[in-house]
Amino acid sequence: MFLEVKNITKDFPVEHGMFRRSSGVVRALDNVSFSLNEFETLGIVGESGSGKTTLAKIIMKLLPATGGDVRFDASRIGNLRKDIQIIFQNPYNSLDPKMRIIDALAEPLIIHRICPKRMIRQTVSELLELVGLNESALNRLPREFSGGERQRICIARVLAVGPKCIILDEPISSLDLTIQAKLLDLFMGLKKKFNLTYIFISHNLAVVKNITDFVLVMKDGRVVEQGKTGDIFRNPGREYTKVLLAAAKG
Amino acid sequence: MENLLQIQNLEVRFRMHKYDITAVKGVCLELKKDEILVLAGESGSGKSVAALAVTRILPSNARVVFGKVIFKGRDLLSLDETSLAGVRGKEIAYIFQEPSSALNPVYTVGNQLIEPFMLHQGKSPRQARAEAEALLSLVKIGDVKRVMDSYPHQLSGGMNQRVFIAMSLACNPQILIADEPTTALDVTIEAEILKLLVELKKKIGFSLLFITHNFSIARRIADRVCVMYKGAVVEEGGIERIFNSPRHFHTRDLISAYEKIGKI
Repeated sequence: MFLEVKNITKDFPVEHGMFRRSSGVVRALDNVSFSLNEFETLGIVGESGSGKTTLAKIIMKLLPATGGDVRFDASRIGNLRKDIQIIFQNPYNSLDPKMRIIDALAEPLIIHRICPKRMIRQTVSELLELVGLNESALNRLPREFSGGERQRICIARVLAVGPKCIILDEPISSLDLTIQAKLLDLFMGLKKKFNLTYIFISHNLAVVKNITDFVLVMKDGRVVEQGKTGDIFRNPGREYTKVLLAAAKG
Repeated sequence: MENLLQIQNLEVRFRMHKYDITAVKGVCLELKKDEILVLAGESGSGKSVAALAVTRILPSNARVVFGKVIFKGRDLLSLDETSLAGVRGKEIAYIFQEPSSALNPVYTVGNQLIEPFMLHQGKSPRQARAEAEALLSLVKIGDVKRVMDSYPHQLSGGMNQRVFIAMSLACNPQILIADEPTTALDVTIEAEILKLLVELKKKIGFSLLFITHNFSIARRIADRVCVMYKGAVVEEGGIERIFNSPRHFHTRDLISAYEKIGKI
């Protein structure tokens, strides 16, 4: 298995008052397990507060889990911080407003020693081309780009280190529907080109319908249902999945 | 059906650093009594600007250079500020995309909700509070007392949007302008809010101008659709006609995006 998540539980302490006395815990994730093969796409679907992003952060080891464990195939994943990347919902917050695009994209290249200094400009241009932007973007600042373009820049930055797996945490939810459609095409094109494994998080079942192989439906920190995407759409087993389908249908 | 609101040849420009930008040009729109008109288009197409111009609540660097907005025989764009204040919020009310930022964070929901009753209807604080509680039950908030005493940050996005809808309905408006009210919400909550708006429209009888980039919403609620692109209205028609035989390429783009993402 490329990725195995076993019995993950996460508690957040609830703190009160001036001295942050702890008065119990909120269970954000309760016994979540799933596994994923390489080159497959898993969709994680649920309402806000269902624990999707917490789960993503635990897989990325950006948060420690209270219990359970996350295991990647050691023969495939050497450096977790390089091989697994994440893209967040809001491209307005995930780019440094004072960094020019060339600097933002050069940083991962330098930190992970991907290419020599003299090659950086050319490599960054190539990365921008991959996501449908061009050289004219190099010396501009994030605020000069639209939401969809900024998300493309975030994708280029993630591709800079040559990841094997990308976690997409609601990557298109804050964008226009027409832009969403274009970005989905881009994601699927890149997946084919670079043999990527995706974990795609969304609150909307309709979004994951066409692009995922497996779906995990979450509610209140638990896995309500999981299975092949086609099966879940044709024949949802749980009441909650039906509610989500109905909401997407309208 | 009679026309309740008519936008005629509207042109709005924004003053930028070096040059002016025309955000809306030559827009003509009619909102009929009792209808739901969906104004669709991608971001930057000018749909919000057109809607804000109706009661002149545009940002300070924008100005209307041309056009009329006829409501009840009067041109709102040439109306004096005092008379317009009687229309704005009272006869034409708005709800916006980010309910959490549209509500005042330092007042409780109750304290904000009683304001329209006291301001537009001259009610006493006690009467206003009773009215406000009735409104919250109207928008199907179960726990009225608790919500009245909560601050916006203590409530969820969907809950805040219900509060905001309640506030906009306080004065029984004839027109409700909803500017992407569900874009920041989950699909499940979005479905609930859309259902609520349609129900309220039937119950109270206002006309709804609904702005969105998402054609699945048009599909669900619209009587008529108006598509904007680059500041102009490019296509207009009944919902069935637009879906079955879209004429403009931008309408086709919006529909194909919906078919790819919005549809199951």
